[in-house]
Amino acid sequence: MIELVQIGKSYDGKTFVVDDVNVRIEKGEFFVLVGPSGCGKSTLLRMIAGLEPITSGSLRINGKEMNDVPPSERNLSMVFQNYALYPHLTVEENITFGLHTKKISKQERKKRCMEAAEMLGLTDYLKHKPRQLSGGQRQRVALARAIVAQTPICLMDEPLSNLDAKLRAKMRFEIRQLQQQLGITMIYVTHDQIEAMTMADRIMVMNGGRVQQIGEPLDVYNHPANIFVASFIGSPAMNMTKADVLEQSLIFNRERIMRLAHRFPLETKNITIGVRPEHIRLANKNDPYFTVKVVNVERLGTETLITFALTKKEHWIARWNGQCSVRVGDEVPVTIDEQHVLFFNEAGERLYMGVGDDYVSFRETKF
Amino acid sequence: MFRSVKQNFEGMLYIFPSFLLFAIFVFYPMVRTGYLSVHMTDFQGNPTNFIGLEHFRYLLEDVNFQQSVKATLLFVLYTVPPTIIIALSLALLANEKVKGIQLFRTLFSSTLGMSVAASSVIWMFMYNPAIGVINRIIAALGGEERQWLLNPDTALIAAAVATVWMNIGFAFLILLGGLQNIDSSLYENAKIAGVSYMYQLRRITIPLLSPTLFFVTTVSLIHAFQTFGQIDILTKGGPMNATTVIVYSIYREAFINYNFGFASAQAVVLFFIVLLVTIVQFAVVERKVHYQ
Ligand SMILES: Nc1ncnc2c1ncn2[C@@H]1O[C@H](COP(=O)(O)OP(=O)(O)OP(=O)(O)O)[C@@H](O)[C@H]1O
Ligand SMILES: [Mg+2]
Repeated sequence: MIELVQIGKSYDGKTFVVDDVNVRIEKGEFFVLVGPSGCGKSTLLRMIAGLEPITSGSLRINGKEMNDVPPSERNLSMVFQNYALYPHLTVEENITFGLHTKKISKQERKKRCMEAAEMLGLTDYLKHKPRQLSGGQRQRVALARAIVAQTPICLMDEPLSNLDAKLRAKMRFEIRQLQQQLGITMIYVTHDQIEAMTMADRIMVMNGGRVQQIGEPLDVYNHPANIFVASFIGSPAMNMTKADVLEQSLIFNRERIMRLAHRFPLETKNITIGVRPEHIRLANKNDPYFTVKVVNVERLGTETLITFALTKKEHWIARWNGQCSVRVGDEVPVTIDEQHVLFFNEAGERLYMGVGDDYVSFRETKF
Repeated sequence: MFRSVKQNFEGMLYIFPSFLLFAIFVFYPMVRTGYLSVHMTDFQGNPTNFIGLEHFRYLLEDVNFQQSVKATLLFVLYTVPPTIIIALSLALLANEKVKGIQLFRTLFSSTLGMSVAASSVIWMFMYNPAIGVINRIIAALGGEERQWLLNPDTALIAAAVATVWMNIGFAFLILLGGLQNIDSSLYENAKIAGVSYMYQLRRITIPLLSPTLFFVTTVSLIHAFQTFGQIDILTKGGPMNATTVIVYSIYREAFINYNFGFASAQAVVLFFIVLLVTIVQFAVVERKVHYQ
């Protein structure tokens, strides 16, 4: 169990690149840190590893304060973004590097190395040097090295970012399986939200050094806490548009009106609404609908992404199953269920409204 | 066919200027030296009559030349290993991430900016028996004062110490560059694994630094065999020829004794010694180098 209590990090003593992080990671959990580049993921991970001093707050592992404990005594392993393999050592020497410090006998070292190599399909490459391996194989050597240490905690910093899409998908599965097999507590850093969604037990979304939301992947997907999370998680991103509030209606760029089943509190003037692409559907016969003009169609095989103009300035994307025959320039009737519309206040925080299953009715207006 | 001839011609045109410079300042003197080494010469260095390998035969028996070969080898031994070891230690220190380390980096590499002549003069004053700082320190510590540059037992070592000091800047700078090229995550992984500093040094730093070490060693070796300036200023080859390294002996033979043919023969011998050492370096030592 790893506990982070008000963890903060500042390099220059003025600005904090990681600020007030509070989280408790359970034993055996696959915990994913996700966020855009520069948000402080690596820094946080390196603080947990002990490679970077913690500026403020406290880090506890199994209840013991670890702030000033050297990395080697934290009983963890780490897979680096660039793998950090020793170019002059063979795969076998790389995998067993440092094991002698743990007072493990030569036979045991060899045995563990063979086991890990077997598990990761590296048996034929044990005598090779890293430069003779492909990217995926190198990555597996790094994984094997983390495994043979048999530490209860494993930290990974974007281990898949250098691989091509196909290999990445395969390795996602392999890492996840390995983690479950060995019961490792995993803290995994990525900026790829698909990795986060598919691998994690829980994810923590960060931005600008601050925690935005912690939760199970689907929870975060369905109930984003703020605009940042809503737009960061999900691909294509959630459609977001600013709107003016007028009693029970929302007005978009003075072009469209959306009528809601609920009233906003009186003081609300401006809000942002968010709709996931898959929640915009073609209107059935009796649905209230609004007509939109299609500006782009992307057919991906199993699904079709349709970009349409909500207002003159704003484009939204809808995602429909199958290979739709919609063409650019078509006017199509679409509808959105109100329960799928998310509202955010001006500060970007989520506004929770009573959830009804009334339809939202859009109308075109001329002012 | 026509095209490739034209291209060849064009290519040669591009290397012609540097070839010309090399020809005038390197190839011609080399050939000329070889030519002179098999001739008797007059006072102006013009060859008079062909004598074959006579100079070389004489060299083999010449006690003075044997002494200068010995002095040169000792000088190399006294300068190259200490330079590399000290520069490596300083580079390891200066590579640590400590506040203000930049100051030390500048300081350690500063001897690079000093000419051999200037530093030799500095050391000459330091070795001075009457006013030199070295004797004063020794006296202050209760030791025995010495005439460092005038005693045949210490002169070569004294010149070597000064040379080490002069060469450290260059070796330090190159080695520091090599150290900074080593990926820091390799050390971070070692930190997590919990291996000792000496193990890191032996298993990570030295192997990954070996191409740089090899380069610095080779250059330092060649450099040491060709030492002249500091010998000329500090000891003039004395006392009792204790510091007459080969290059100094060549200089003396040519420009003091005006025996150009004999000097040329020594130069040829030196050339082959350096060539041999360099070949050994590449054939034996380079095999242990890990190029990435
Ligand atoms: N050694 C350092 N000195 C000063 N600032 C640093 C240092 N390392 C990182 N930073 C700053 O800290 C912030 C967070 O960096 P970090 O490497 O943690 O980002 P990240 O989330 O891992 O990004 P990426 O996805 O690109 O790897 C960045 O703004 C960066 O400029
Ligand atoms: Mg990072």
